[in-house]
Parts: sequence; C-alpha cells; structure tokens
Amino acid sequence: MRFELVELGPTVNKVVLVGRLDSVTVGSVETPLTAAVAASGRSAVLDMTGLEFLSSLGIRLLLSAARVVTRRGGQVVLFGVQPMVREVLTAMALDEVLPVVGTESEALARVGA
Amino acid sequence: MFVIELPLDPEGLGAAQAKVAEYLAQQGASDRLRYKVRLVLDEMAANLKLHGVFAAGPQPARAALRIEDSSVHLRLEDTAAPFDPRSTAATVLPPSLDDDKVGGLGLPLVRRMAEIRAYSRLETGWNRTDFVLNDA
Repeated sequence: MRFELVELGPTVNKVVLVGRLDSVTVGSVETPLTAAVAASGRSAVLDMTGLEFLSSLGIRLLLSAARVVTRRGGQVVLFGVQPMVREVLTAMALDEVLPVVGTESEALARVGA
Repeated sequence: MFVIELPLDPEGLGAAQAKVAEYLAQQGASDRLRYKVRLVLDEMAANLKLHGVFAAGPQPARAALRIEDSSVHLRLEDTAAPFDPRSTAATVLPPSLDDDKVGGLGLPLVRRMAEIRAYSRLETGWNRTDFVLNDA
C-alpha cells in the first residue's frame, strides 16, 4: 500500500491510493495517510483508481480521516473506485457518507474547486 | 483441498493471503471470488487479533479451501474462546462522520460477502467456522 499527496490548489488536495488497504497494511499507513487527507483543513479528492482492495479497517481509516476534514470545514470525495471496492463501500453504506463519483473532474466539482 | 496456516501478524497474514490467491488463480477462480475470499480471511484474522481471547496468547488460525461448482468452501479454525460469528448483527447502521467511534464493520461485511454455513466448537478446543462464497 502506498499513497501520494498532490496539491491541486489552495483549497483542495488529491491523494492517490495504490495497492491494498486492509489489516495487513493499515497499521503502516494510518498516521501518514490521515495526515495527508486532513492536511491543512483542505478538502481532499481521493483517487481510488489504483486501490485494488479495501477491507473494514481501511474503511475505518477513510472515515476517520474524512471526519477530521469535515470538522475543519472541508469535504472528501472519492473517484475512480474499482468495482469490487465499490461493492464493499456500498455494502457498508459508506457511499452515503463519502460521495463517490466517476472522475477527478467530477470530484473537484463536488468539492467546489 | 488447500490447507494453510493463517498467522495473525501483518507480515505472516500477507504471505498467507498471497498463497491463497495463487491457489485460487490456479483453480480458475474469478477476480470477484478471489476478492471475497481475501476479504473474509482479512476480516476474520483481524477480528481474532483485535477481539479474540486466547488462553495461551494469540495463535495462528488455519484455513482449508476447496472449489466446488464455482463456489469456494472455506473452513476456518482457531483456538480463541468460543465465538459463533452468526451471533453478531448481520447489518449495521450506516456510518456517520458525526460519530467518534467507527468500528464493528468487519463481521457484517463478512456476512454480506459470504454465507456462514456452520459453526462448531471442537472437543480439541478449536472453533470451526464454515463459509461458502460464490460469484453472485
């Protein structure tokens, strides 16, 4: 599991997630990933294109990071979600809490960037 | 039948998951089925590590898999205190960003992805749980 933080502008960052976010990997990325998503109170769009696996511990991490962002006035939007990851998000009704859209452009529009 | 020890530490679990994935690929299991198996193994191992009560410290679980009629039959056994995963809620309320606590998603997710066909406590002191996973 790895991620990359990209500053897209003064109010929004993009975080690119690659690999698997599960019980095997979550412990090694929890702190830096939360910091990246919640950086400076900006909104964040999460590029899920390269995230091939997500389990409940990964969901918990995404929710925790999103909670910090929203409390600071920002938003978190996911895009490019692979089908099985999308199914997991839907099964846990996470897509009702964190918006999931198809493309980066849609995600940026959603956060008002 | 493919049998493998399932360590609860991240490195050991990751290695075991890789071997299971290789076996399933060799057997022609679909991507969707392989995802479900990885998910159930990850959730059950995490549940054991976080919540399992062991008399003599955490011990690896063991998994046995076979494919029959395009379904994966998965048997998991562990030495933790008796626990029937069917006793937990099958669904959870949708998570909220207003809640400070987020958790309890793992077993409901397992129950969405797999049928838990049977649970028993063996005379040897092991839990045995049988899952069936399919492409549907």
